[in-house]
Amino acid sequence: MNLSAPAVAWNRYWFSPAPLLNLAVCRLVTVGLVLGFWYRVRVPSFGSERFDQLAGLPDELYNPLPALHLLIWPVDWSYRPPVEVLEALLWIGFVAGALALVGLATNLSLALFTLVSMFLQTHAYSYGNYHHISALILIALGILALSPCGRVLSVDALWRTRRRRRRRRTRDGPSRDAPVHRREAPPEGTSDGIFATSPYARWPLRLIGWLLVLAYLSAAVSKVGGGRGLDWMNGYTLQHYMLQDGVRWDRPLGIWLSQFHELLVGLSWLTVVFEATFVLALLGPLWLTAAYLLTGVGLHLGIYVTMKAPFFGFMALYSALVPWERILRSLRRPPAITVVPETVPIAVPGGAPEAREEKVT
Amino acid sequence: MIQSEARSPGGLARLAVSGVIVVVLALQTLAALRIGVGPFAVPPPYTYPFLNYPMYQNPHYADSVVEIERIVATLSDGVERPVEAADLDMPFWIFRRQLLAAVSARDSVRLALFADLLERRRDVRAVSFRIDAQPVYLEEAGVRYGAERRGDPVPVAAR
Repeated sequence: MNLSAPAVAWNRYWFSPAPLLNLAVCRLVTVGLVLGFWYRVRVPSFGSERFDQLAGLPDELYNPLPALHLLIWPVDWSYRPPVEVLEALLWIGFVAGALALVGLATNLSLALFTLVSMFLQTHAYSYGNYHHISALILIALGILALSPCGRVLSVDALWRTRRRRRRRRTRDGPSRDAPVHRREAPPEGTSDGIFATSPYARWPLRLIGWLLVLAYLSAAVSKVGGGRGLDWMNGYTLQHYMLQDGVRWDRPLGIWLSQFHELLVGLSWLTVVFEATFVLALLGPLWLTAAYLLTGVGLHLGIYVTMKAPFFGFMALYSALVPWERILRSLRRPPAITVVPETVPIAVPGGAPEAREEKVT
Repeated sequence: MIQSEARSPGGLARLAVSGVIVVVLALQTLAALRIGVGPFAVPPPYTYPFLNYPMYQNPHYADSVVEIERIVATLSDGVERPVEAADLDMPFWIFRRQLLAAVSARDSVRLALFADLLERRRDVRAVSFRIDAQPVYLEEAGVRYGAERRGDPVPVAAR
């Protein structure tokens, strides 16, 4: 093994062992969100494109996206699926998504779920209109399908554990109560139940994090780039959009909020700074990550309530940046028994050797 | 370097995953920052699901006026009626983007598609479409709607 320094750094960044729990929670949140929308609107478009409506549109409006061409070419390069095919695919996808959620044949079911979601979504967007809200989620589903996201918090994991126990029992003798002395060494990482780690548990979450960074950076560049300067943050811009969407979508809070010019100047700056510097959520310390994610949730919920722009997918992908394993460990850790001395010396600034002693209660 | 990585334990899998990482990041970077020249300058949504995110990007100023647009059809009997997505049983955004674009571009041939659809759904025949725009003002007492501005009708091509 004679890897150069960049290769070592690359491997360390993407492939150092990480808790599988973080990956599994990301799977649960992401798949759960997509399934939730399927259940609610019965289409995976996070919007209102119903299959029967799409099927009723004139052929002249149908212009398949390249990603859809890749999926339909075995049938016909410009195949237009009838409503029955779309419905059948929806149910196949629903079953695959449910299996991916509970973690049964996780990678296979997740791959199928991703393909079906991609098919239905790109089809819905092949009639001259598209939205941004589900694009990152689809890429994230594909990434998760290639990862060991079903190694914990899954039916697969339960079966794997049962199989391992049965093998151990067979090997160690017939007694059910015999203590287990030997453990199978995992191939890589550690297999400590729910807290198991894997060298392949880090890259999917980091990649999803970088996709979020690029998306937000794109939004920031769009607002201040192209010679626009700082005009976007003049307050009038946000007033305009809030009033427009508030009236269009009947959002009284958006209409009301659009009156407060100074407040919206502040919110405009917050939005652009948040988008332009989201990379710090990935590279900064944990408290900064938490601050960015909470701000992001606040911004997206605020945008939804005032302007009806449903970027729930972005919030779901925040789950890739949350250290779930650390949170769970801290919740499960028994309260530490610490011996506190009766008196604690308090250093006096200024360097005086004398130390005041204070009674600790 | 690649050869030595491939020979290391788990190296082949890491190489394959590294390839995925590089491709995904490259595609999203090109799409997000609209980097691309010549044949690589593919506009969204053709790069879907790799997109840029320019929503709400245009700045507005103190004198900007919000206008609520609606589409009005003139029927064969001379009656005028507003047309909404529900009249054509179309998804809202497809209706809005396609029909508004066709009227704005004065595309009579494309408008015939929507006239046919309206006839199928509502049993009425449109001979022209126009866009009316109503300004919306924000005042202390709340929202005030200004006088509607009538657009130029665009005739529907005969089919």
